[in-house]
Amino acid sequence: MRHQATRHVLAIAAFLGGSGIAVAEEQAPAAAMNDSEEQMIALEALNKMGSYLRSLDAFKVQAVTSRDEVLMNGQKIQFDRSVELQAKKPAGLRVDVTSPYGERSFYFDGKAFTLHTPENKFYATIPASGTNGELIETLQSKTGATMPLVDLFLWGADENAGSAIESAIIVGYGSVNGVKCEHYAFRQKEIDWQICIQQGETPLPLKLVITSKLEAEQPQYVSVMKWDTAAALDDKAFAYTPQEGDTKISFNPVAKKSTAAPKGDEK
Amino acid sequence: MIRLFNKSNALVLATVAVMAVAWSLPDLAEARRGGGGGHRGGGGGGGGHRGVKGGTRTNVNRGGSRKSVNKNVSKKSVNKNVNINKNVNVNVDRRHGGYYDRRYRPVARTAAVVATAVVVGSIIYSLPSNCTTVVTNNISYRQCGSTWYQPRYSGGSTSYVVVNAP
Repeated sequence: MRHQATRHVLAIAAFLGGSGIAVAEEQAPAAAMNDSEEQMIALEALNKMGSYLRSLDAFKVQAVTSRDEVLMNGQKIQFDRSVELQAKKPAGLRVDVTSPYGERSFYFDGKAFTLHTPENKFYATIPASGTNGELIETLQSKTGATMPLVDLFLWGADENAGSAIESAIIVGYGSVNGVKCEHYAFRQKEIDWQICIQQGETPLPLKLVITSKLEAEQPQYVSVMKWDTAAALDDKAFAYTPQEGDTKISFNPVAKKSTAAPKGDEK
Repeated sequence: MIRLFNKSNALVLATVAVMAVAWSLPDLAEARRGGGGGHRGGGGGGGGHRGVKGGTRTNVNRGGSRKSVNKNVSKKSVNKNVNINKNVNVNVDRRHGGYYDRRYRPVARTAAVVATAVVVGSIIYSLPSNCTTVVTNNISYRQCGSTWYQPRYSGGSTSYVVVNAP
């Protein structure tokens, strides 16, 4: 009971911006997650972030993403990648992914989407219109390709998205690359996830952690982001022009049927 | 002295073991492309550590169209895919969310290595080393010995589909 009262106070302190003192002074009780006020504040923070993201005319994000891969023996190995994302409203996307293992670039100019892999000089293009958010849907249904950081275009876009969240807690204050942020944690059926949202007038996501619960090893994905919301973007960045030696290939069509395993195979 | 030597020997062995594991990771296999990656699609080759289960979600929000993909498959079902030709079908590949894990598919540690007689429609993620590029009717092929491949993107990764000679 006392725990709950404390959490109320802390939740409100966090909501009001507080003084930067770590909120989670004591361990949260494991069973007290139906604190509706705390959930409301956390969800409201998500909405605020989503609205802010959708209000930006153009932005550039530099991110380092880390992703666990689980070996067949259960051992987890983490791979890092660098991602540079440029976006403009309503349609204009360019994502460059670099890692020691390969590069790939995604282009969307409102008319076409292209995936280019410089390492083998291949590219594939499909016609695509609509907004950046709509593009992501198109990609998933037509190519199966998922760009990194797509959440940036989906947060707040779907009014029902919040219903997938089963619990939400305020963790406290965090700091990412020296920028203060508010740390929230959410639970959904298949994932737990955490986000640190920049404090103040520019509620940008600075860090995202996704824990996949379907695998016993619970592999994680982490994305740490640096933002430039005043970037001057060149429209040329969004359109792909084949270079000497580039060869056009196609996307494998996405299987229409559900690819879920037969019931007996599920855990 | 001898003991020390043994120790360092063990260390070397351990290191080699770790490297073997790492190299079986397709990320690194990707890095070695061109050096003869072999038929990844042909199965894991029996090593207990080979292959990656995947299953790491990289985004929170998913479009309605991806509902089915959410149904992740446990490793049990992966291991049941012992038939080489079945094992390389695209559906197996579609289970996971991230665009860059496509090349990790498919994984089957119980599968035997089959490097010849590749069935048309099979998909591999890195080519053998003896391949040449042939462009016919504006379509790019890779010819590796008597086998022809057509490069395609499966999700965000390059795959090679075995096709009949054009």
